[in-house]
Amino acid sequence: MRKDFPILKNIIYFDNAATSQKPRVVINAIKQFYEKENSNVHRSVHKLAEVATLKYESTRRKTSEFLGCKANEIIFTSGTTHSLNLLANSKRLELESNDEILITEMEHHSNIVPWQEISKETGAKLKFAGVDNNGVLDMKTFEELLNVHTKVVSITSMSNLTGIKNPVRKISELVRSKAPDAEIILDCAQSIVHEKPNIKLVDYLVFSSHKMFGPMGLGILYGRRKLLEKLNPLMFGGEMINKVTKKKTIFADPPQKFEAGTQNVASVIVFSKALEYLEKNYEFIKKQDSELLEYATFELKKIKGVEIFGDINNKGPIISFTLEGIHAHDLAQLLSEKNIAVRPGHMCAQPLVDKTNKDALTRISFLAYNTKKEIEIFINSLKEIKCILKN
Amino acid sequence: MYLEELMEEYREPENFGVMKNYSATHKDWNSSCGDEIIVYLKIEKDIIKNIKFQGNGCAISVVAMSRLSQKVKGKTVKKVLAFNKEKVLGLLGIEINPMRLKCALLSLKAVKTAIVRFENAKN
Repeated sequence: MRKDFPILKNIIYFDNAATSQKPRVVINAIKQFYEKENSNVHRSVHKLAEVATLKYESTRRKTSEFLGCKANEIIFTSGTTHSLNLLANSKRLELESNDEILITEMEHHSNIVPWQEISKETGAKLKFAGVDNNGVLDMKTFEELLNVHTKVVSITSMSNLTGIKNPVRKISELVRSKAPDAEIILDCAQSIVHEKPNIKLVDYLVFSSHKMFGPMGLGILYGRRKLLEKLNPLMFGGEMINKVTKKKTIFADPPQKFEAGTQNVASVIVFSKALEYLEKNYEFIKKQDSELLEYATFELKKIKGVEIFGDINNKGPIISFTLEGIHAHDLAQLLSEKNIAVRPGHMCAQPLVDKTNKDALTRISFLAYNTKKEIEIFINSLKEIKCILKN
Repeated sequence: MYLEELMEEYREPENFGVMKNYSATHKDWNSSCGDEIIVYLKIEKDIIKNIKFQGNGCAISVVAMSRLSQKVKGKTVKKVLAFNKEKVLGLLGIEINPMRLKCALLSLKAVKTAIVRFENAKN
């Protein structure tokens, strides 16, 4: 896989949870689109528009085949944040003060802040299911928080801070039995590049192209057809209409209803290449994930002063840690000087970081193109930095 | 390497601690990395007589605060309010890349905000 990624020649890239690097097939497809195919979709009737429209809709079909749903259940957005905002915004018009929204303490800010805002506006209560000291979701509390008033359950399938996965099947069963009116939203932004989700367990599913080898600026929102018909659009304007008069507008059917204005056509078309690439490599990725995670965890734990948050088995290849005596930001900069890319801070998951009693952590996150050799260099660099700082 | 030069002062910064009977205080933070600083100022006749600070942060933010705190002592509030980005970067004396600028300038932001709040309360 590694040879497919031109950028990796020059850097040890351990910030894959932030965005994946792009394989040559994706980079070439972007060039191909702008050199030979660039056109807006759906509107014009010239040849370029025809090709672009066919390819755009073909990506929608491929995405639906990838997930195992119908093509008209796939909406293109600008990213996971946009998808979650679209869903939250629609609930703005539906929720009332005795309704409840249930999320967890391990969510990314993009799955917290929209719900806080909707809760403020509608009066619906926002509840957080807690995590234990390792960052694992406390299923007992989760279950206790479910009831007939719960209308939305929005959870991540994999924490972007710890890599810890949530038991989606169990969660889905609990929600269906204890909170029959709740719709389940699954945030797969972090997990999608590591394993394929099961859409049958949820009502909505969201993820971003850029974390799965695809271009930036493209998100995917899956929603069950019946729900999409009721869902309110976030954006209004061109392409999302059936008929416009001065008095009123009749909206188009989903998915067009949710794709107002000129879309990120290039990214959508190129995304099909990323999907193909991912499907071809899924098995290899899974194998590499556990090997890299295991090796890095083992080696890191040997360094005195290293503390890992969320060190449990069977999780995604993400490690967040602290090194005694040095702030995460300083550490990340020193590693950057050694050409190693890591992420310091709170990783957009402040409520989860608050659980650690640390101000900031350093995160390393792997993808299958990373190697044990790179981890070895990283570990040696950490040891060197530790030595320098002690003097 | 920049950090080697700052580490000693990072471990034992000047003017670190609490102040009782302060004239002005302000807590500020850097949302991207979690640096947090509380500044206490003792101001008499428009002169900063004493300064203390507390908080957690990276080496750049803490050392910037440590050096700035030494610089503002005895100065008039007017003079300190005129301090700019270049002043703080000069005090640090090492190259600060754009991604770390917020860390470097948190101290100045906190001190200036404390002064402004003090001045506003006076009027």
